[in-house]
Formats: sequence, C-alpha cells, structure tokens
Amino acid sequence: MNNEEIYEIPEISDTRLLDIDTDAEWDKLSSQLGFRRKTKILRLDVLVKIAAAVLIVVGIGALVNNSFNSSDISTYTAQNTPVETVVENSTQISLNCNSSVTCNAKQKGVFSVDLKGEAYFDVEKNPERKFEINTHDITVVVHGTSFNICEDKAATTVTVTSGVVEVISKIDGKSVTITKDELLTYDANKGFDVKTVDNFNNIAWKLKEFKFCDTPLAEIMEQLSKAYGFSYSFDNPESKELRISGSFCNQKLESIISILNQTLDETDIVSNAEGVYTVKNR
Amino acid sequence: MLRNHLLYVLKKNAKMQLTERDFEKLFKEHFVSITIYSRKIVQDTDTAKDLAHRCFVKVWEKRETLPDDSNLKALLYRIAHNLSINYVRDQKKFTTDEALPNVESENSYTDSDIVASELEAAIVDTIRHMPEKSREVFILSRYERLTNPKISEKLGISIKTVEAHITSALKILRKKIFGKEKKS
Repeated sequence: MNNEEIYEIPEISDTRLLDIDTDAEWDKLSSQLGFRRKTKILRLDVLVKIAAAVLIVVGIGALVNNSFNSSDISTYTAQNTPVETVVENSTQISLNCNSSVTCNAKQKGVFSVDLKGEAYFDVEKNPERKFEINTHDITVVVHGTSFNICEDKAATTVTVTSGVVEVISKIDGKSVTITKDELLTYDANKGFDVKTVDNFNNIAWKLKEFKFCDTPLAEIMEQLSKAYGFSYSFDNPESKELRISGSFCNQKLESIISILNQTLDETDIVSNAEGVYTVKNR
Repeated sequence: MLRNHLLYVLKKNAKMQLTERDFEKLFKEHFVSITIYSRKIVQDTDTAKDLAHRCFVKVWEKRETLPDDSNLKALLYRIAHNLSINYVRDQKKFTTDEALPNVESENSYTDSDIVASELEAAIVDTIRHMPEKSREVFILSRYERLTNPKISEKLGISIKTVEAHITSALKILRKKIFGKEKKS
C-alpha cells in the first residue's frame, strides 16, 4: 500500500469530533426542550436476569480490583482556604473551604469522586474512563466539562460553566441533563429544578467573576465575603437595600470595594486591622 | 387573477409546520456539521458543541414564526455563525488572550465554508461508523501520524494487518466521500 494515499483524505479539525454521538446529543436536546422520551419497555424477568448478570460481573470486578489496586483511593480536604488539586492527569478539582473529596480509581472504566461540601470541577475528557461524582443525594456523570457542585443537607446545586453533565437522583433514579449556563437544584422532596442563569455569582469563590444587575448591597456583600473569605456587618440596616449594577472580573477585593465606594453616594465600606468590613453612613 | 393573488398571499403567510420528528431528523443530519462550522470560528470543540445546541434550540423556539418555505439549513448556519461570532466577541471583552481568533463581519460566511464543514462532517461520520479495529488503526495513522510499525507495536497486531485495516478504511472513505473506489 502506498503510504501517501492516506493523506488524500482531508484533515479533520479535532479528533474529538469523532466522539460526538448524535443520538446522545439528541437525547440531551430533547430532554432540554421537554420532548417526550421514547420509552423502551423491558420485561421484568429480563430485567431480573440483567440485574443478576450485572451483580455477578460487578462482584467479580470488585474482587479483582480489591486484590490488585489497594492504593487508588486518595482524599483531599480544604479547611480555611480553597485548595486546588489535579487528578487523572489533567482534571482539576478546586475545593471550597470546609470541603473534601475522596477520589477512587479502583474500578476499571470509572473514576469516581465522593464530595462533601462544595467543589468546582474542570474535567478533561477521557473516552476510556467515565468520571462521576457522588454526593449524599445525587450522582453527576461527566463528559468533559467544567461545573460546580455545592452539597448541602437541604438541597444540592450543580452549575455548569461549559459542556454537559448528567445528574442522577440517588433517591428515585431519575436523571436530568444540564448544559452550559444552567443551574440545577436537587431537593429530595421536590426533585430537580433547572433554570438558566445569566451570571455565575454563586461560584465566584472559584471564578472571581461577578455580574450584578440592580442587586441589593446585602447580597453583593454576601457574595464577596464568600468569594474572598471575610466577615462584614452593616451599621445601618437601610444600606442593605441599596442597589448596584456592574461586573467585576478577576479583580482584587480592595479594587472592588473602592469601585463600590465610588458608586455609593452616602455610604462607605471600610475595613479594620483584622480585615473585617463595615458598611456605614459617610 | 384575484384567486391567484389570494393563494400567493396565503402561501407567503403560511407558517412552517415543524414536528418533533422533522426536528430530530434535522438535528441528526446537521448537528456535527454545525459544530464543525462553529468550531472554525471559536476554535474549541466543547464550546462549538454548546453553541450548536443553542442554535437548534433557537430554531425550535422560532418554528412558529418561520415562513413555510424557510431554508432551515441556511437558517441553522446563519444562527451558528452569529452565535459563534458573538461568543468570540464576548470572550475578547473579558480577556486579552491573543490566541482568540479575529472575528469577521456577521455576513462573511460563505458557501465554501458550509461545504467544507459538511465534507468534514461526512468524513467524521464515515470514520465513526467504520469497523472498530479499522477505525482505531486509521485514526492512529492519519491523525496521530504513527508509522505502521508503531501502530503494529501499539496494538499488538502484525504490520500486514495494520496495512489491511488502512486499505479497508480508505476504501470505505473513498466510497462514501468521493462516491467511488480508487482504481488500482
């Protein structure tokens, strides 16, 4: 065979295009648009047989894995400051304060992460290994994307900044696919709630990007304090209702406070020696 | 005369009846090529996929206002173009990253860009549907530029088998893309 022949075939811009599964993409879109899913009906006896086979395979797999890979579990914890770590070669996990992840690479074909608290994930796509994250109430299946999960006893939220993730309830097994600019809230009693977001203020602790649109000062101070880790108080409760619009991208806290002070007419935000901020009348 | 004119007006004002099934067909037919087209502008596959999704969402949302004779394919490319250009512009506002491409005018997309995207989508689709081993060997050879002995070593198969897979892959591609097999 002449080796030159193979170069007659035009280049493709990215080999990852070969991984696009149009059926799976259609499922995501149709679920987003609320189309009725085509239901596949499986007979119960078939389901029982499949479940039994899966149990046997999983059982054997677990035995094999336990005997050969005992050091594939690692735990990372962030206490007072956010911590960043890289797992699986190039997947980045940013842990918010008081959070921890336990990464488990024991199971072949799956890299699983148990999350307690809040973390931002930037997952490198790996077609050979599924990446999934478990909280107490949901499982998030990832296909190469960036997103934030905030686990809380009352409800868990997932915010996607790029790509697509699938979120599965551990309570009833229902699943939802969410894409960029969507925020999912899962409450065990109410189920899934997905809404489109026009800002990522809730994950500004990681991105340091804020977009405020006629936002009360109380909310702005709350978001800044979470992102930059400081305490604050209001001398005059009426100042909490002052409204501000504007956006900040990767700016130092001092610079944001200075801009807010220039914007506010009769109010000042000042800090003391301990770094505690007070909002008071000028 | 009046009847003809009324028929003309009715036809002109007729709205498109796009069913879910038609939309699914449209999506499966054009999703990859729209992604490729958008990727040419935004230079990132994941972003291009997101934009392609948004593009189809927009078409679905507009369906009730579209005239009956709308060219959906052209509409898809136009929306994809505008979304991608806007994306690059927005990125430029927030970053000084010089690696970002220069965005052209909103009307600068040409038929040849569309044809190129469709050709690439056809190649992607053909490679995706090749037998597994031939696909693997072809990708290593054509896109990862490994030599036949390296592929043979990597996959634990003989050099002759590597050559056979490449020949088979080329045969499939020529037939699907160029509509004919190469005469030896």
